[in-house]
Amino acid sequence: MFAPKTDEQLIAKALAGSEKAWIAIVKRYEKRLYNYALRMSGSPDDALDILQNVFLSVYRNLDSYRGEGAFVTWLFRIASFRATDFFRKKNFKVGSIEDEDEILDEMNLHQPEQALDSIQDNNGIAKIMAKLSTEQRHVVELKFFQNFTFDEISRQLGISPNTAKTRLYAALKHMRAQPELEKKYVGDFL
Amino acid sequence: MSKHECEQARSLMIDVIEDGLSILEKQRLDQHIDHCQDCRHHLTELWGLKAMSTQWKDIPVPKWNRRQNLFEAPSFLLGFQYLSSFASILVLVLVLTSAEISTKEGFSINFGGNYISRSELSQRLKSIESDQRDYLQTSVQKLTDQQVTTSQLLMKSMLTTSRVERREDLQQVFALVDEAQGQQLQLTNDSLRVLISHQLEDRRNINQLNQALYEGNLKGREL
Repeated sequence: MFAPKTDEQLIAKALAGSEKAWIAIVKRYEKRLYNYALRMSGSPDDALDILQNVFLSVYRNLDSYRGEGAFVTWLFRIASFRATDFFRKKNFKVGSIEDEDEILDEMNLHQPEQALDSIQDNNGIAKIMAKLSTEQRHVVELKFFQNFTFDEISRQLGISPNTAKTRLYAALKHMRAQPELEKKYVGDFL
Repeated sequence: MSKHECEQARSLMIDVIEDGLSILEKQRLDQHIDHCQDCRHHLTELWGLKAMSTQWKDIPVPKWNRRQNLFEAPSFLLGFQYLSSFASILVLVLVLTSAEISTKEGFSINFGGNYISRSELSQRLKSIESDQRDYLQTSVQKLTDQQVTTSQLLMKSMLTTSRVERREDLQQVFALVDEAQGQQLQLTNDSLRVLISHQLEDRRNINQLNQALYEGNLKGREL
């Protein structure tokens, strides 16, 4: 079997005009980015829109990727920009999803094959995330779900590492009031 | 526990979930949370948040056309995404204001203007047809006149050219004739000159002969 190509190899081929390499890059990261967008937006339709915007932006700007740092860091930087842009255009506000069951319904609708407990897990997380501001959600997402360091997050969001930490603490303070988080996740450690 | 110690401990907590603490820092944090319930709870919440992230079950991406989305996106239309909306508004304004656009050639668009009956339309078409016929006839006449004028000018130009050429040819012939006549005259002159010189010589010879005859006669008489 052939060894899978590295990001750098695929990028070089994509820049040389290989459509196959482009599709390989998309396939490699689309699931991760889609779930990122899903947690950020709480809507499968919006998540797909964000995903498409991100890859379109990558397609148009890949030649500006200089190979400084990992490709995934650069990719999530673009994703952060596109998601922020998307929320700004949609005038997305904290708690804009008034009926929280809306999230559950939408996810059920799009994922009929998903096991019920995992749907509930995801919906619980999506509900908690929906309570945060866009800035706080970005930091929580990049820190806990994408496991980036604070230095990487600061570069991705164009803020200082200390600001990123402050936003995380603010998010934590906000989430402390969430019974779902307290009951389901914190309870395990107490 | 002092507030300062709690602040220091909390600044370390973020790093502990990143495994970014040294052994010494970790020991310091452990010592603090052993005695500070508030900070212990805070750290627990952080771990809870971390645990929450692991509970997420990745959802497969719905079907989407990657190729079309990437390679067939109309990049040349970037910045023109509002073009269709603009065109719709423009048409709406034109209809609402019953705007009419027409040219001298008879082309006309009327947005929501007055209704034109079939007979009126037929009459207008006949009128346009008649105008077109007149215009065509005038154009043909104009072209014919232009052609005649052009032909006349051409003939005149050809005649002038021909006349100039003939004059030049005649001048050349006259020059040649003059030259030939000059040569002939020169030859005649030369011949006459030779003839005269021969006559003069003959006359001298005759005179000499006469002289000799005369002298001979004289001698004969003396003898």
